[in-house]
Amino acid sequence: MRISSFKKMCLLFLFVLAASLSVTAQTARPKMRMWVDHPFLVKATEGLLKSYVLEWAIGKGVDIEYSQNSDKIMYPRIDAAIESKTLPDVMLINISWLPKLQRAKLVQDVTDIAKELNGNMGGFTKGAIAAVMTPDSKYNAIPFLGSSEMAYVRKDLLDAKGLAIPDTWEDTVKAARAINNPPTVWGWGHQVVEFDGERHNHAMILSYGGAIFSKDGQSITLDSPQTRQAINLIKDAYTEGLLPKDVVTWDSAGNNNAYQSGKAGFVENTGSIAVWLKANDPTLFNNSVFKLFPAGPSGRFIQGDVWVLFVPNTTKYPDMAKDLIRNISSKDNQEELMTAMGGFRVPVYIDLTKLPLWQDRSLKPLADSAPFVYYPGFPGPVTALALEEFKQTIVSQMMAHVLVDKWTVDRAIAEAVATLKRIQVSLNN
Amino acid sequence: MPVPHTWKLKLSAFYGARYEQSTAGIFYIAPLIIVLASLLLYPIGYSILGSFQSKIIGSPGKFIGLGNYIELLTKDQAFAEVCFNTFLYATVSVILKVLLGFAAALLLNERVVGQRFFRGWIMIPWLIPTLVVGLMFRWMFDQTGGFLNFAIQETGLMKVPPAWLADKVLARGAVIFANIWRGFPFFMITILAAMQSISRELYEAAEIDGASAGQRLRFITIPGVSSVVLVVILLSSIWTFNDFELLWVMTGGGPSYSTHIFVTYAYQLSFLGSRFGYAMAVSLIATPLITAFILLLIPRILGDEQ
Repeated sequence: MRISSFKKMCLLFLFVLAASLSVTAQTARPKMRMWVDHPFLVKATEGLLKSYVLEWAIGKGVDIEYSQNSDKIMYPRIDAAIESKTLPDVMLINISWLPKLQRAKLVQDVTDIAKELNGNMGGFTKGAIAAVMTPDSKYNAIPFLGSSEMAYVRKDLLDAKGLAIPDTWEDTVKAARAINNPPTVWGWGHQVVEFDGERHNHAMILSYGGAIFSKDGQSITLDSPQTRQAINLIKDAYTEGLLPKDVVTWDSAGNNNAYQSGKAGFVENTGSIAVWLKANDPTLFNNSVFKLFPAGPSGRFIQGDVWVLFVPNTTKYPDMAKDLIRNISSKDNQEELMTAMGGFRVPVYIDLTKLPLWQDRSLKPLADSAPFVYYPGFPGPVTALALEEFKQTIVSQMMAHVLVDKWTVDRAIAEAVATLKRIQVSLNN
Repeated sequence: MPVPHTWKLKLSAFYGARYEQSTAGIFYIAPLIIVLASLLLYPIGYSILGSFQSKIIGSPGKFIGLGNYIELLTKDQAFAEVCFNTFLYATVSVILKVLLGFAAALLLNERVVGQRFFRGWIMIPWLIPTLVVGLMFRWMFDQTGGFLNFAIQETGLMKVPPAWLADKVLARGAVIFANIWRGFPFFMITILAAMQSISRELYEAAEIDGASAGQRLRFITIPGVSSVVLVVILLSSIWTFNDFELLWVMTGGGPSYSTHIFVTYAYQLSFLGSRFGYAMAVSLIATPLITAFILLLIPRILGDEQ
């Protein structure tokens, strides 16, 4: 039987297709994705982390797509990925994402790799462990980077007025009043909104003896005389003009810009300002004193933060993802990254707090801050409600209502408590 | 592809024989309709359904009927302000863009020195990406380091210039100003094109008859461009109503909620507040209003064309 030309063409096509598919199958490499939701102050450090990832990928024969951006860009992207269950294989994210990921049932148990890494470099700091450990002692993420805060003080302005360096909030306000000379310089560049402001507001409330949550983490205790004291301190300073009026619109770089431009006498921030001053303004660096975060009548509290490496349970390559984490968390890589960051972030491994860079006068307060660092939910545990409160900056919105909308403090607190209760109900449903 | 006989019969029975020949056309445009339906109808339908649910990202939604709308209208302390901001922003911006665009078009319609140069360069605000415009004005209006306050201080107008973006009223003014700066070239170029299509003979005849410049403007120019102006108002109103980028970059909806409009408020609720269902209710609640506005204007536009 003669086969027609058309049938011959079809057979040839099928043969070529089968051959190419088998070749493709043999040469297919794992394709992984890593997202990094973290701002890198120094561009080189972003490249450094990326180089660790790419180097690992080349060694393992993996095709990896590495994507990094700040939170404003990544928030909707991660939300969309959670909703569609298309998260990447590994993510570097803030701990405030964990409750949402838990609710969406996307958490992978990484206790094995966490315990392995906890045996390195002196182990994780207590705060880092508290941030990622579940009530049944499992790890749902791996701590990678931490943050703490300190106070920046314009010593030259204080010296001109014959003033000592203040240590408490109240003394800071008094000193700010003395050096206040807008628009040349505002006494106090205190951030009250966004994530920085949220940390400061929390810390101030605690330092006055108040708390947002109870010791068992179940009750909302924001409505208290101590909270009112803290709010009124900021409100009075704002009304008096010790703070620039546009603190209520600052983004996360607002207090950085204010201090770095010489427009603020005092600010509280991470090591980011110190890193910038050293590189860009030696004069202002030399005129600055770097000290511990201010204290209140009930003590000194500094809200820390943790960025974690997270592996969703939707990944096709859980073992490879854990191997990647093992690689980028190695001692050499952590030391190099921490040193390159220059103090912008603090280590989550105990031994790394002894690196030479922390002896520099501009960063030593961060190293010394460890006894005062707490995490969202304090004095209770790190709960989903506490992390959600921080992510939604509820206390900052409360401050904005007082300062911008001229609400009474009582009304603003009532609104914040109502919002927290609504979030609590939605988390429990 | 031949149309199935039964389909032809069904359609002709419903519409009458003269529609038979369109059934082939329906088949040819069916793929386009399917794509548009999935890109438009599915998201809209999902949003409507989602607005009746208590939904947070990552979790399945729980049907709560009108719960979101009731909360929005009775308990949400920000909603009244968001409504006010939206209508203020859209109305003032569009009115001033019309006036400024019209004035610029009038000027550029005359034979003035540098006419061609200005006609081109005046389009620049429209060409700059909105993100860049937002960042530019955010910097300009910054209290501590912005150019505007620097100029005010240097000229001695005020010792302590205002915090433009920290005061509710000033912040609203700042975002409206930015929107007008960016948007008026579109009005200008469209109205100018309409003016150019008005016959010169009408003006000459009016001049011969003794009409003043004001009368020529009122009885020739304005009627001649009115249909175009209505279309531009309609488009600009819809765009301004849904303006996200400029507001989000300049103020993030702040200070407090003073520059939030529906779309930025919905964004904040969904991606920062994790309340997807509630955010959908916010974004949909204005839809009947926009639809009513469009339905009011369309007959006027079509009536003018006729």
